[in-house]
Amino acid sequence: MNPIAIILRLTLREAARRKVLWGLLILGLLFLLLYLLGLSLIASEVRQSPNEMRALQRIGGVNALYNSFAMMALYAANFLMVMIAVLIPIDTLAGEINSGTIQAVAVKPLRRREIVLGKWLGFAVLLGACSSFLIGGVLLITLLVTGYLPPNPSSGLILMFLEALVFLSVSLLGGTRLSTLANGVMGFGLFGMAFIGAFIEQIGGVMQQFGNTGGETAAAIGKIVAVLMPSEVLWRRAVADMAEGTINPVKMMTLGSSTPDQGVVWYALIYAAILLSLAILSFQRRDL
Amino acid sequence: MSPSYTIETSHLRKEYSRKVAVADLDLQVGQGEVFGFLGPNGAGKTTSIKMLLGLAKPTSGEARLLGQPIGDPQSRSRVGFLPEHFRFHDWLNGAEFLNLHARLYGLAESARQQRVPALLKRVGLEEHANKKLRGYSKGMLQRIGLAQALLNRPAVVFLDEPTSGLDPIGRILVRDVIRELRAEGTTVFLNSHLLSEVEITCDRVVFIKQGAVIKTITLKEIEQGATPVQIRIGAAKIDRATLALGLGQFGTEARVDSDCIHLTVADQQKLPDLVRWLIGQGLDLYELKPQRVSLEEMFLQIVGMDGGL
Repeated sequence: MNPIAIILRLTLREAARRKVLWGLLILGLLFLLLYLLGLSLIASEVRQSPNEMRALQRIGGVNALYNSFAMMALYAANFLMVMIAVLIPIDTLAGEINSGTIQAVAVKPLRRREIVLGKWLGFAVLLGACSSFLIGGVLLITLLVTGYLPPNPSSGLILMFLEALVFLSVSLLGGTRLSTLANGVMGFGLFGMAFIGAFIEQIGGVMQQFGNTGGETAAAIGKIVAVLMPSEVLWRRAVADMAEGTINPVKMMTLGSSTPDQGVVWYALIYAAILLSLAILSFQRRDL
Repeated sequence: MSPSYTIETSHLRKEYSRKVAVADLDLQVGQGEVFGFLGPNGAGKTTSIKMLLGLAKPTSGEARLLGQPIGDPQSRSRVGFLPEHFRFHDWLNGAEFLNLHARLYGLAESARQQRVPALLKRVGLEEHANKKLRGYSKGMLQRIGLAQALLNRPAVVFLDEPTSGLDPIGRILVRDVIRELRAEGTTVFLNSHLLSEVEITCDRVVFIKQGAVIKTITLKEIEQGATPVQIRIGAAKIDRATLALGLGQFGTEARVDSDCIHLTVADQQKLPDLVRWLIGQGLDLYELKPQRVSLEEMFLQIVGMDGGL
Protein backbone atom coordinates (compact mmCIF):
# COMPACT_ATOMS: atom_id res chain seq x y z
CA MET A 1 0.00 0.00 0.00
CA ASN A 2 1.25 3.45 -0.90
CA PRO A 3 2.25 5.53 2.17
CA ILE A 4 -0.10 8.35 1.09
CA ALA A 5 -2.98 5.87 0.98
CA ILE A 6 -2.05 4.56 4.45
CA ILE A 7 -2.14 8.06 5.95
CA LEU A 8 -5.35 8.91 4.04
CA ARG A 9 -7.00 5.81 5.47
CA LEU A 10 -5.69 6.60 8.94
CA THR A 11 -7.11 10.13 8.72
CA LEU A 12 -10.57 8.89 7.77
CA ARG A 13 -10.44 6.19 10.39
CA GLU A 14 -9.53 8.73 13.05
CA ALA A 15 -12.47 10.93 12.04
CA ALA A 16 -14.75 7.92 12.38
CA ARG A 17 -13.26 6.70 15.67
CA ARG A 18 -13.22 10.08 17.33
CA LYS A 19 -16.91 10.48 16.54
CA VAL A 20 -16.21 13.44 14.25
CA LEU A 21 -18.32 11.75 11.56
CA TRP A 22 -21.23 11.27 13.93
CA GLY A 23 -21.02 14.87 15.07
CA LEU A 24 -21.07 16.12 11.50
CA LEU A 25 -23.93 13.81 10.57
CA ILE A 26 -26.09 14.95 13.50
CA LEU A 27 -25.26 18.60 12.93
CA GLY A 28 -26.05 18.26 9.23
CA LEU A 29 -29.29 16.42 9.85
CA LEU A 30 -30.48 19.07 12.32
CA PHE A 31 -29.62 21.80 9.86
CA LEU A 32 -31.41 20.08 6.97
CA LEU A 33 -34.41 19.25 9.16
CA LEU A 34 -34.79 22.89 10.11
CA TYR A 35 -34.60 23.91 6.47
CA LEU A 36 -37.14 21.25 5.51
CA LEU A 37 -39.53 22.49 8.20
CA GLY A 38 -39.22 26.15 7.22
CA LEU A 39 -39.48 25.53 3.49
CA SER A 40 -42.48 23.22 3.90
CA LEU A 41 -44.34 25.86 5.92
CA ILE A 42 -43.66 28.55 3.32
CA ALA A 43 -44.50 26.29 0.39
CA SER A 44 -47.85 25.25 1.86
CA GLU A 45 -48.68 28.86 2.72
CA VAL A 46 -47.89 29.99 -0.82
CA ARG A 47 -50.02 27.25 -2.41
CA GLN A 48 -53.02 28.18 -0.28
CA SER A 49 -52.96 31.92 -0.96
CA PRO A 50 -53.57 33.05 -4.57
CA ASN A 51 -53.21 36.69 -3.53
CA GLU A 52 -49.69 36.21 -2.37
CA MET A 53 -48.92 34.33 -5.56
CA ARG A 54 -49.92 37.44 -7.50
CA ALA A 55 -47.80 39.63 -5.29
CA LEU A 56 -44.86 37.32 -5.92
CA GLN A 57 -45.09 37.89 -9.67
CA ARG A 58 -43.58 41.30 -9.10
CA ILE A 59 -40.32 39.86 -7.74
CA GLY A 60 -40.03 37.16 -10.36
CA GLY A 61 -42.56 34.51 -9.44
CA VAL A 62 -42.80 31.92 -6.76
CA ASN A 63 -39.51 30.32 -7.81
CA ALA A 64 -37.72 33.54 -6.91
CA LEU A 65 -39.06 33.16 -3.40
CA TYR A 66 -37.93 29.56 -3.21
CA ASN A 67 -34.56 30.54 -4.61
CA SER A 68 -34.14 33.27 -1.99
CA PHE A 69 -34.89 30.77 0.70
CA ALA A 70 -32.56 28.13 -0.75
CA MET A 71 -29.77 30.72 -1.07
CA MET A 72 -30.12 31.67 2.57
CA ALA A 73 -29.84 28.01 3.53
CA LEU A 74 -26.77 27.67 1.28
CA TYR A 75 -25.29 30.77 2.87
CA ALA A 76 -25.55 29.04 6.24
CA ALA A 77 -24.30 25.73 4.80
CA ASN A 78 -21.32 27.54 3.29
CA PHE A 79 -20.48 29.08 6.64
CA LEU A 80 -20.74 25.67 8.30
CA MET A 81 -18.42 24.23 5.66
CA VAL A 82 -15.84 26.96 6.37
CA MET A 83 -15.98 26.18 10.09
CA ILE A 84 -15.67 22.45 9.48
CA ALA A 85 -12.80 22.95 7.03
CA VAL A 86 -10.86 25.10 9.50
CA LEU A 87 -11.60 23.10 12.63
CA ILE A 88 -11.36 19.45 11.61
CA PRO A 89 -7.73 19.50 10.40
CA ILE A 90 -6.67 22.14 12.93
CA ASP A 91 -4.94 19.79 15.35
CA THR A 92 -3.86 17.01 13.05
CA LEU A 93 -0.25 18.21 12.66
CA ALA A 94 0.17 20.58 15.61
CA GLY A 95 -1.34 18.04 18.00
CA GLU A 96 0.68 15.09 16.77
CA ILE A 97 3.90 17.11 16.78
CA ASN A 98 3.19 18.39 20.27
CA SER A 99 2.38 15.01 21.77
CA GLY A 100 5.17 13.22 19.92
CA THR A 101 2.73 10.85 18.19
CA ILE A 102 4.23 11.92 14.88
CA GLN A 103 7.67 10.58 15.84
CA ALA A 104 6.90 6.88 15.53
CA VAL A 105 5.26 7.59 12.15
CA ALA A 106 7.89 9.95 10.74
CA VAL A 107 10.78 7.51 11.35
CA LYS A 108 9.13 4.92 9.13
CA PRO A 109 10.35 4.61 5.53
CA LEU A 110 8.05 7.29 4.15
CA ARG A 111 8.64 10.89 3.17
CA ARG A 112 7.30 13.81 5.14
CA ARG A 113 5.42 15.08 2.12
CA GLU A 114 3.54 11.78 2.02
CA ILE A 115 2.29 12.42 5.56
CA VAL A 116 1.00 15.89 4.63
CA LEU A 117 -0.50 14.76 1.32
CA GLY A 118 -2.19 11.76 2.93
CA LYS A 119 -3.77 13.96 5.57
CA TRP A 120 -4.82 16.59 3.02
CA LEU A 121 -6.46 13.98 0.82
CA GLY A 122 -8.16 12.32 3.78
CA PHE A 123 -9.70 15.59 4.92
CA ALA A 124 -10.57 16.51 1.32
CA VAL A 125 -12.57 13.30 1.05
CA LEU A 126 -14.27 14.12 4.34
CA LEU A 127 -15.06 17.69 3.24
CA GLY A 128 -16.33 16.38 -0.10
CA ALA A 129 -18.75 14.13 1.74
CA CYS A 130 -19.74 17.01 4.04
CA SER A 131 -20.44 19.48 1.26
CA SER A 132 -22.36 16.88 -0.75
CA PHE A 133 -24.45 16.15 2.31
CA LEU A 134 -25.13 19.76 3.38
CA ILE A 135 -25.33 21.52 0.02
CA GLY A 136 -26.75 18.53 -1.84
CA GLY A 137 -29.24 18.15 1.01
CA VAL A 138 -30.45 21.75 0.72
CA LEU A 139 -30.87 21.42 -3.05
CA LEU A 140 -32.62 18.07 -2.80
CA ILE A 141 -35.03 19.28 -0.13
CA THR A 142 -35.80 22.35 -2.24
CA LEU A 143 -36.55 20.18 -5.25
CA LEU A 144 -38.68 17.69 -3.32
CA VAL A 145 -40.73 20.26 -1.38
CA THR A 146 -41.24 22.89 -4.11
CA GLY A 147 -40.48 21.11 -7.36
CA TYR A 148 -37.96 23.91 -8.09
CA LEU A 149 -34.18 23.54 -8.38
CA PRO A 150 -31.88 26.59 -8.40
CA PRO A 151 -29.81 26.87 -11.62
CA ASN A 152 -26.27 25.45 -11.92
CA PRO A 153 -26.45 23.27 -8.78
CA SER A 154 -23.25 21.33 -9.56
CA SER A 155 -21.25 24.50 -10.22
CA GLY A 156 -22.39 25.90 -6.85
CA LEU A 157 -21.45 22.69 -5.10
CA ILE A 158 -17.99 22.62 -6.67
CA LEU A 159 -17.34 26.29 -5.77
CA MET A 160 -18.30 25.78 -2.16
CA PHE A 161 -16.25 22.57 -1.96
CA LEU A 162 -13.30 24.51 -3.37
CA GLU A 163 -13.76 27.11 -0.66
CA ALA A 164 -13.55 24.30 1.92
CA LEU A 165 -10.35 23.02 0.28
CA VAL A 166 -8.83 26.50 0.52
CA PHE A 167 -9.48 26.56 4.27
CA LEU A 168 -8.27 22.98 4.67
CA SER A 169 -4.95 24.03 3.10
CA VAL A 170 -4.75 27.09 5.36
CA SER A 171 -5.39 24.95 8.42
CA LEU A 172 -2.78 22.33 7.47
CA LEU A 173 -0.17 24.96 6.70
CA GLY A 174 -0.82 26.68 10.03
CA GLY A 175 -0.61 23.34 11.83
CA THR A 176 3.00 22.84 10.75
CA ARG A 177 4.17 25.80 12.82
CA LEU A 178 1.40 27.28 14.96
CA SER A 179 -0.29 26.07 18.10
CA THR A 180 -3.84 24.83 17.68
CA LEU A 181 -5.29 28.01 19.11
CA ALA A 182 -3.17 30.35 16.98
CA ASN A 183 -4.01 28.26 13.93
CA GLY A 184 -7.74 28.63 14.59
CA VAL A 185 -7.38 32.37 15.05
CA MET A 186 -5.53 32.56 11.74
CA GLY A 187 -8.11 30.48 9.84
CA PHE A 188 -11.14 32.41 11.05
CA GLY A 189 -9.23 35.67 10.85
CA LEU A 190 -8.60 35.09 7.15
CA PHE A 191 -12.25 34.20 6.66
CA GLY A 192 -13.31 37.42 8.39
CA MET A 193 -10.80 39.42 6.38
CA ALA A 194 -12.13 38.07 3.08
CA PHE A 195 -15.70 38.71 4.22
CA ILE A 196 -15.01 42.35 5.06
CA GLY A 197 -12.84 42.73 1.95
CA ALA A 198 -15.77 41.71 -0.24
CA PHE A 199 -17.97 44.36 1.35
CA ILE A 200 -15.34 47.04 0.93
CA GLU A 201 -15.01 46.12 -2.74
CA GLN A 202 -18.76 46.32 -3.31
CA ILE A 203 -19.20 49.58 -1.46
CA GLY A 204 -16.28 50.90 -3.47
CA GLY A 205 -18.02 49.75 -6.64
CA VAL A 206 -21.23 51.58 -5.71
CA MET A 207 -19.27 54.71 -4.82
CA GLN A 208 -17.56 54.57 -8.22
CA GLN A 209 -20.95 54.40 -9.93
CA PHE A 210 -21.81 57.64 -8.22
CA GLY A 211 -18.58 59.15 -9.43
CA ASN A 212 -16.92 59.13 -6.03
CA THR A 213 -13.12 58.93 -6.37
CA GLY A 214 -12.58 57.19 -3.03
CA GLY A 215 -14.50 54.25 -4.46
CA GLU A 216 -11.62 53.27 -6.68
CA THR A 217 -9.29 52.82 -3.71
CA ALA A 218 -11.89 50.87 -1.77
CA ALA A 219 -12.52 48.55 -4.72
CA ALA A 220 -8.76 48.04 -5.11
CA ILE A 221 -8.38 47.16 -1.43
CA GLY A 222 -11.19 44.65 -1.76
CA LYS A 223 -9.52 43.06 -4.78
CA ILE A 224 -6.18 42.77 -2.98
CA VAL A 225 -7.89 41.06 -0.05
CA ALA A 226 -9.54 38.65 -2.49
CA VAL A 227 -6.12 37.76 -3.88
CA LEU A 228 -4.80 37.12 -0.38
CA MET A 229 -7.80 34.96 0.53
CA PRO A 230 -10.14 33.98 -2.30
CA SER A 231 -12.82 32.37 -0.14
CA GLU A 232 -15.40 35.12 -0.50
CA VAL A 233 -15.06 35.45 -4.27
CA LEU A 234 -15.75 31.71 -4.55
CA TRP A 235 -18.95 32.13 -2.59
CA ARG A 236 -19.92 35.19 -4.60
CA ARG A 237 -19.32 33.29 -7.84
CA ALA A 238 -21.56 30.51 -6.50
CA VAL A 239 -24.28 33.10 -5.76
CA ALA A 240 -23.89 34.52 -9.26
CA ASP A 241 -24.40 31.04 -10.68
CA MET A 242 -27.34 30.02 -8.53
CA ALA A 243 -29.32 33.06 -7.34
CA GLU A 244 -32.43 34.19 -9.21
CA GLY A 245 -35.09 36.88 -8.84
CA THR A 246 -35.02 40.63 -8.49
CA ILE A 247 -35.44 40.85 -4.73
CA ASN A 248 -33.13 38.16 -3.40
CA PRO A 249 -31.50 39.07 -0.06
CA VAL A 250 -28.38 36.91 -0.49
CA LYS A 251 -27.87 38.11 -4.05
CA MET A 252 -28.28 41.73 -3.09
CA MET A 253 -25.91 41.34 -0.18
CA THR A 254 -23.19 39.57 -2.20
CA LEU A 255 -23.40 40.92 -5.72
CA GLY A 256 -23.84 44.65 -5.37
CA SER A 257 -21.55 46.10 -7.97
CA SER A 258 -19.42 43.33 -9.46
CA THR A 259 -19.48 39.62 -10.16
CA PRO A 260 -16.34 37.50 -9.94
CA ASP A 261 -15.67 35.67 -13.20
CA GLN A 262 -15.07 31.93 -13.67
CA GLY A 263 -11.32 32.49 -13.33
CA VAL A 264 -11.74 32.34 -9.56
CA VAL A 265 -11.97 28.57 -9.83
CA TRP A 266 -8.50 28.38 -11.31
CA TYR A 267 -7.15 30.94 -8.92
CA ALA A 268 -8.54 29.03 -5.93
CA LEU A 269 -7.06 25.77 -7.21
CA ILE A 270 -3.63 27.35 -7.62
CA TYR A 271 -3.99 29.07 -4.24
CA ALA A 272 -4.80 25.78 -2.48
CA ALA A 273 -1.93 24.04 -4.29
CA ILE A 274 0.53 26.74 -3.25
CA LEU A 275 -0.61 26.57 0.38
CA LEU A 276 -0.36 22.78 0.36
CA SER A 277 3.17 23.00 -1.09
CA LEU A 278 4.12 25.49 1.61
CA ALA A 279 2.67 23.15 4.23
CA ILE A 280 4.82 20.30 2.89
CA LEU A 281 7.91 22.50 2.80
CA SER A 282 7.32 23.84 6.28
CA PHE A 283 6.70 20.35 7.69
CA GLN A 284 9.80 18.96 5.96
CA ARG A 285 12.00 21.63 7.43
CA ARG A 286 10.95 21.46 11.03
CA ASP A 287 12.27 19.23 13.78
CA LEU A 288 9.78 16.76 15.20
CA MET B 1 33.89 7.50 6.81
CA SER B 2 34.03 3.75 6.69
CA PRO B 3 30.88 1.90 5.64
CA SER B 4 31.44 -0.92 8.12
CA TYR B 5 29.81 0.87 11.06
CA THR B 6 26.08 0.68 11.66
CA ILE B 7 26.03 4.14 13.17
CA GLU B 8 28.71 6.66 12.53
CA THR B 9 28.75 10.35 13.34
CA SER B 10 31.39 12.96 12.86
CA HIS B 11 31.33 16.38 14.52
CA LEU B 12 27.55 16.21 14.71
CA ARG B 13 26.14 19.41 16.12
CA LYS B 14 22.69 20.75 16.88
CA GLU B 15 21.98 24.29 17.94
CA TYR B 16 18.62 25.67 18.88
CA SER B 17 18.05 29.39 18.86
CA ARG B 18 19.50 29.94 22.32
CA LYS B 19 21.36 26.82 23.27
CA VAL B 20 23.60 24.12 21.94
CA ALA B 21 21.90 20.75 22.44
CA VAL B 22 24.66 18.64 20.90
CA ALA B 23 28.09 20.22 20.61
CA ASP B 24 30.35 17.82 18.79
CA LEU B 25 29.34 14.19 18.69
CA ASP B 26 31.65 11.52 17.35
CA LEU B 27 30.32 7.99 17.54
CA GLN B 28 31.07 4.66 15.90
CA VAL B 29 28.76 1.79 16.64
CA GLY B 30 29.53 -1.56 15.06
CA GLN B 31 27.18 -4.14 13.62
CA GLY B 32 25.60 -6.30 16.33
CA GLU B 33 26.81 -4.16 19.19
CA VAL B 34 24.60 -3.39 22.19
CA PHE B 35 25.53 0.19 22.76
CA GLY B 36 24.70 2.26 25.83
CA PHE B 37 24.32 6.00 25.45
CA LEU B 38 24.64 7.63 28.86
CA GLY B 39 24.65 11.11 30.21
CA PRO B 40 22.82 13.43 32.56
CA ASN B 41 19.51 15.07 31.67
CA GLY B 42 19.99 17.71 29.03
CA ALA B 43 23.22 16.14 27.76
CA GLY B 44 21.72 15.85 24.28
CA LYS B 45 20.92 12.13 24.21
CA THR B 46 17.41 12.36 22.77
CA THR B 47 18.41 15.12 20.35
CA SER B 48 21.24 12.89 19.09
CA ILE B 49 18.83 10.00 18.50
CA LYS B 50 16.41 12.36 16.73
CA MET B 51 19.17 13.52 14.40
CA LEU B 52 20.18 9.93 13.61
CA LEU B 53 16.56 9.09 12.78
CA GLY B 54 15.97 12.14 10.61
CA LEU B 55 13.51 13.74 13.02
CA ALA B 56 15.79 16.71 13.65
CA LYS B 57 18.23 18.29 11.21
CA PRO B 58 21.84 18.67 12.39
CA THR B 59 23.22 22.19 12.34
CA SER B 60 26.53 20.83 11.13
CA GLY B 61 28.58 17.65 10.96
CA GLU B 62 27.68 14.43 9.28
CA ALA B 63 26.31 11.05 10.17
CA ARG B 64 25.55 7.75 8.52
CA LEU B 65 23.07 5.12 9.49
CA LEU B 66 23.49 1.67 7.93
CA GLY B 67 25.90 3.20 5.45
CA GLN B 68 23.38 5.79 4.22
CA PRO B 69 23.38 9.51 4.99
CA ILE B 70 20.86 10.17 7.77
CA GLY B 71 17.42 11.26 6.66
CA ASP B 72 17.32 8.76 3.81
CA PRO B 73 13.87 7.09 4.03
CA GLN B 74 15.14 3.88 2.46
CA SER B 75 17.62 3.19 5.25
CA ARG B 76 14.83 3.70 7.78
CA SER B 77 13.09 0.58 6.53
CA ARG B 78 15.72 -1.36 8.49
CA VAL B 79 15.49 0.73 11.63
CA GLY B 80 13.30 0.32 14.70
CA PHE B 81 12.59 3.11 17.18
CA LEU B 82 10.90 3.24 20.55
CA PRO B 83 10.43 6.95 21.34
CA GLU B 84 10.95 8.27 24.83
CA HIS B 85 7.36 9.31 25.53
CA PHE B 86 5.70 6.52 23.53
CA ARG B 87 2.66 8.55 22.53
CA PHE B 88 0.73 6.76 19.84
CA HIS B 89 -2.66 7.01 18.12
CA ASP B 90 -4.58 5.98 21.22
CA TRP B 91 -7.89 5.43 19.44
CA LEU B 92 -6.42 2.33 17.77
CA ASN B 93 -6.36 -1.03 19.50
CA GLY B 94 -3.13 -2.95 19.98
CA ALA B 95 -3.45 -5.11 16.86
CA GLU B 96 -4.58 -2.20 14.67
CA PHE B 97 -1.67 -0.12 15.93
CA LEU B 98 0.88 -2.77 15.02
CA ASN B 99 -0.79 -3.35 11.65
CA LEU B 100 -0.64 0.37 10.87
CA HIS B 101 3.07 0.54 11.63
CA ALA B 102 3.73 -2.70 9.77
CA ARG B 103 2.04 -1.10 6.73
CA LEU B 104 4.17 1.99 7.15
CA TYR B 105 7.21 -0.29 7.10
CA GLY B 106 5.87 -1.67 3.83
CA LEU B 107 5.32 -5.19 5.17
CA ALA B 108 3.20 -7.39 2.91
CA GLU B 109 -0.16 -8.71 4.11
CA SER B 110 1.21 -12.22 4.73
CA ALA B 111 4.17 -10.91 6.72
CA ARG B 112 1.87 -8.73 8.82
CA GLN B 113 -0.43 -11.61 9.62
CA GLN B 114 2.51 -13.58 10.92
CA ARG B 115 4.48 -10.80 12.57
CA VAL B 116 1.77 -8.87 14.45
CA PRO B 117 0.40 -11.77 16.56
CA ALA B 118 3.92 -13.07 17.19
CA LEU B 119 5.06 -9.70 18.56
CA LEU B 120 1.90 -9.20 20.61
CA LYS B 121 2.70 -12.53 22.20
CA ARG B 122 6.37 -11.68 22.64
CA VAL B 123 5.58 -8.56 24.67
CA GLY B 124 2.83 -10.28 26.61
CA LEU B 125 -0.09 -8.31 25.19
CA GLU B 126 -1.92 -10.96 23.15
CA GLU B 127 -4.88 -10.74 25.52
CA HIS B 128 -5.05 -6.99 25.07
CA ALA B 129 -4.82 -7.01 21.27
CA ASN B 130 -8.40 -5.75 20.89
CA LYS B 131 -8.21 -3.15 23.62
CA LYS B 132 -7.80 0.52 22.66
CA LEU B 133 -4.39 1.99 23.46
CA ARG B 134 -6.24 4.72 25.38
CA GLY B 135 -6.95 2.08 28.01
CA TYR B 136 -3.35 0.82 28.20
CA SER B 137 -1.18 1.44 31.25
CA LYS B 138 2.17 3.18 30.88
CA GLY B 139 3.96 -0.17 30.97
CA MET B 140 1.63 -1.67 28.34
CA LEU B 141 2.22 1.30 26.05
CA GLN B 142 5.93 0.79 26.42
CA ARG B 143 5.55 -2.90 25.56
CA ILE B 144 3.44 -2.20 22.46
CA GLY B 145 5.93 0.50 21.50
CA LEU B 146 8.73 -2.03 21.76
CA ALA B 147 6.77 -4.47 19.58
CA GLN B 148 6.26 -1.66 17.05
CA ALA B 149 10.03 -1.12 16.90
CA LEU B 150 10.64 -4.77 16.01
CA LEU B 151 7.98 -5.25 13.30
CA ASN B 152 10.42 -5.03 10.40
CA ARG B 153 13.13 -7.27 11.92
CA PRO B 154 15.37 -4.19 12.03
CA ALA B 155 19.14 -4.16 11.59
CA VAL B 156 19.39 -1.46 14.23
CA VAL B 157 17.00 -0.61 17.06
CA PHE B 158 16.96 2.68 18.96
CA LEU B 159 15.46 2.39 22.42
CA ASP B 160 15.03 5.70 24.22
CA GLU B 161 14.51 4.94 27.90
CA PRO B 162 12.83 1.59 27.19
CA THR B 163 12.27 0.59 30.79
CA SER B 164 11.20 3.87 32.40
CA GLY B 165 7.54 2.89 32.77
CA LEU B 166 8.02 -0.79 33.41
CA ASP B 167 7.71 -2.93 36.50
CA PRO B 168 10.48 -5.49 37.25
CA ILE B 169 8.80 -8.13 35.04
CA GLY B 170 8.64 -5.67 32.18
CA ARG B 171 12.29 -4.81 32.66
CA ILE B 172 13.28 -8.44 32.49
CA LEU B 173 11.26 -8.70 29.28
CA VAL B 174 13.14 -5.78 27.73
CA ARG B 175 16.44 -7.26 28.88
CA ASP B 176 15.55 -10.61 27.30
CA VAL B 177 14.44 -8.94 24.08
CA ILE B 178 17.77 -7.09 23.91
CA ARG B 179 19.61 -10.39 24.43
CA GLU B 180 17.61 -11.99 21.60
CA LEU B 181 18.37 -9.05 19.35
CA ARG B 182 22.06 -9.38 20.15
CA ALA B 183 21.92 -13.10 19.35
CA GLU B 184 20.32 -12.27 15.99
CA GLY B 185 23.10 -9.78 15.23
CA THR B 186 20.91 -6.69 15.59
CA THR B 187 22.58 -3.49 16.69
CA VAL B 188 20.91 -1.97 19.75
CA PHE B 189 21.32 1.68 20.62
CA LEU B 190 20.15 2.03 24.20
CA ASN B 191 19.53 5.32 25.92
CA SER B 192 18.78 4.71 29.57
CA HIS B 193 19.08 6.21 33.00
CA LEU B 194 18.90 2.84 34.69
CA LEU B 195 22.60 2.18 34.88
CA SER B 196 22.24 -1.26 36.42
CA GLU B 197 20.21 -2.23 33.35
CA VAL B 198 22.82 -0.83 31.03
CA GLU B 199 25.54 -2.65 32.94
CA ILE B 200 23.78 -5.98 32.41
CA THR B 201 22.85 -5.53 28.77
CA CYS B 202 25.43 -3.39 27.02
CA ASP B 203 28.72 -4.32 25.38
CA ARG B 204 29.99 -0.80 25.33
CA VAL B 205 28.87 2.54 26.71
CA VAL B 206 29.72 6.14 26.03
CA PHE B 207 29.21 8.96 28.45
CA ILE B 208 28.17 12.23 26.95
CA LYS B 209 27.96 15.62 28.55
CA GLN B 210 26.91 18.86 26.92
CA GLY B 211 26.57 17.02 23.66
CA ALA B 212 30.04 15.56 23.35
CA VAL B 213 31.49 12.16 24.17
CA ILE B 214 33.61 12.41 27.28
CA LYS B 215 34.39 8.74 27.83
CA THR B 216 33.92 5.38 26.11
CA ILE B 217 34.02 2.17 28.10
CA THR B 218 33.89 -1.43 26.99
CA LEU B 219 32.06 -3.05 29.84
CA LYS B 220 34.47 -6.01 30.02
CA GLU B 221 37.12 -3.47 30.97
CA ILE B 222 35.33 -2.83 34.22
CA GLU B 223 35.92 -6.47 35.16
CA GLN B 224 39.47 -6.48 33.86
CA GLY B 225 40.64 -3.32 35.54
CA ALA B 226 42.38 -2.91 38.90
CA THR B 227 39.99 -3.96 41.64
CA PRO B 228 40.17 -3.38 45.38
CA VAL B 229 39.55 -6.62 47.27
CA GLN B 230 38.46 -7.08 50.84
CA ILE B 231 39.30 -10.46 52.47
CA ARG B 232 37.93 -11.47 55.85
CA ILE B 233 40.17 -13.96 57.67
CA GLY B 234 40.33 -15.55 61.11
CA ALA B 235 42.67 -13.93 63.64
CA ALA B 236 46.02 -13.93 61.88
CA LYS B 237 48.36 -16.69 62.96
CA ILE B 238 51.30 -15.20 61.10
CA ASP B 239 53.03 -11.93 61.37
CA ARG B 240 51.11 -9.10 59.71
CA ALA B 241 54.19 -7.54 58.18
CA THR B 242 55.29 -10.82 56.60
CA LEU B 243 51.75 -11.34 55.29
CA ALA B 244 51.66 -7.87 53.79
CA LEU B 245 55.01 -8.48 52.14
CA GLY B 246 53.80 -11.78 50.64
CA LEU B 247 50.64 -10.13 49.34
CA GLY B 248 52.81 -7.77 47.29
CA GLN B 249 53.07 -10.44 44.56
CA PHE B 250 49.32 -10.25 43.93
CA GLY B 251 48.66 -6.55 44.12
CA THR B 252 49.36 -3.19 45.62
CA GLU B 253 48.25 -1.21 48.63
CA ALA B 254 48.22 -4.29 50.87
CA ARG B 255 47.07 -3.60 54.40
CA VAL B 256 46.35 -6.19 57.13
CA ASP B 257 44.00 -5.51 60.05
CA SER B 258 43.25 -7.96 62.86
CA ASP B 259 40.76 -9.96 60.80
CA CYS B 260 40.76 -8.29 57.43
CA ILE B 261 43.08 -7.88 54.46
CA HIS B 262 42.74 -4.98 51.99
CA LEU B 263 44.45 -5.28 48.66
CA THR B 264 44.14 -3.89 45.16
CA VAL B 265 44.71 -6.52 42.47
CA ALA B 266 45.68 -5.44 38.99
CA ASP B 267 43.50 -8.07 37.40
CA GLN B 268 40.66 -10.16 38.78
CA GLN B 269 42.17 -13.24 37.14
CA LYS B 270 44.74 -13.24 39.92
CA LEU B 271 42.10 -13.90 42.55
CA PRO B 272 42.12 -17.76 42.46
CA ASP B 273 45.89 -17.76 42.93
CA LEU B 274 45.54 -15.32 45.80
CA VAL B 275 43.01 -17.60 47.52
CA ARG B 276 45.25 -20.66 47.12
CA TRP B 277 48.22 -18.74 48.50
CA LEU B 278 46.28 -17.46 51.54
CA ILE B 279 45.10 -20.99 52.42
CA GLY B 280 48.63 -22.22 51.89
CA GLN B 281 49.71 -19.74 54.54
CA GLY B 282 47.41 -21.51 57.00
CA LEU B 283 44.83 -18.75 57.16
CA ASP B 284 41.10 -19.29 57.74
CA LEU B 285 39.27 -17.63 54.89
CA TYR B 286 35.70 -16.40 55.57
CA GLU B 287 34.98 -13.99 52.77
CA LEU B 288 36.60 -12.52 49.68
CA LYS B 289 34.82 -9.54 48.15
CA PRO B 290 36.06 -7.75 45.02
CA GLN B 291 34.97 -4.12 45.38
CA ARG B 292 33.89 -3.65 41.78
CA VAL B 293 33.27 -0.13 40.66
CA SER B 294 29.68 0.00 39.49
CA LEU B 295 28.67 1.87 36.39
CA GLU B 296 26.80 4.23 38.66
CA GLU B 297 29.98 5.19 40.50
CA MET B 298 31.78 5.58 37.21
CA PHE B 299 28.95 7.75 35.95
CA LEU B 300 29.32 10.05 38.94
CA GLN B 301 33.10 10.13 38.60
CA ILE B 302 33.01 10.83 34.89
CA VAL B 303 30.04 13.12 34.56
CA GLY B 304 30.47 14.77 37.93
CA MET B 305 28.02 15.30 40.73
CA ASP B 306 26.69 18.49 39.23
CA GLY B 307 25.02 16.26 36.65
CA GLY B 308 22.40 17.58 34.34
CA LEU B 309 19.98 20.41 34.32
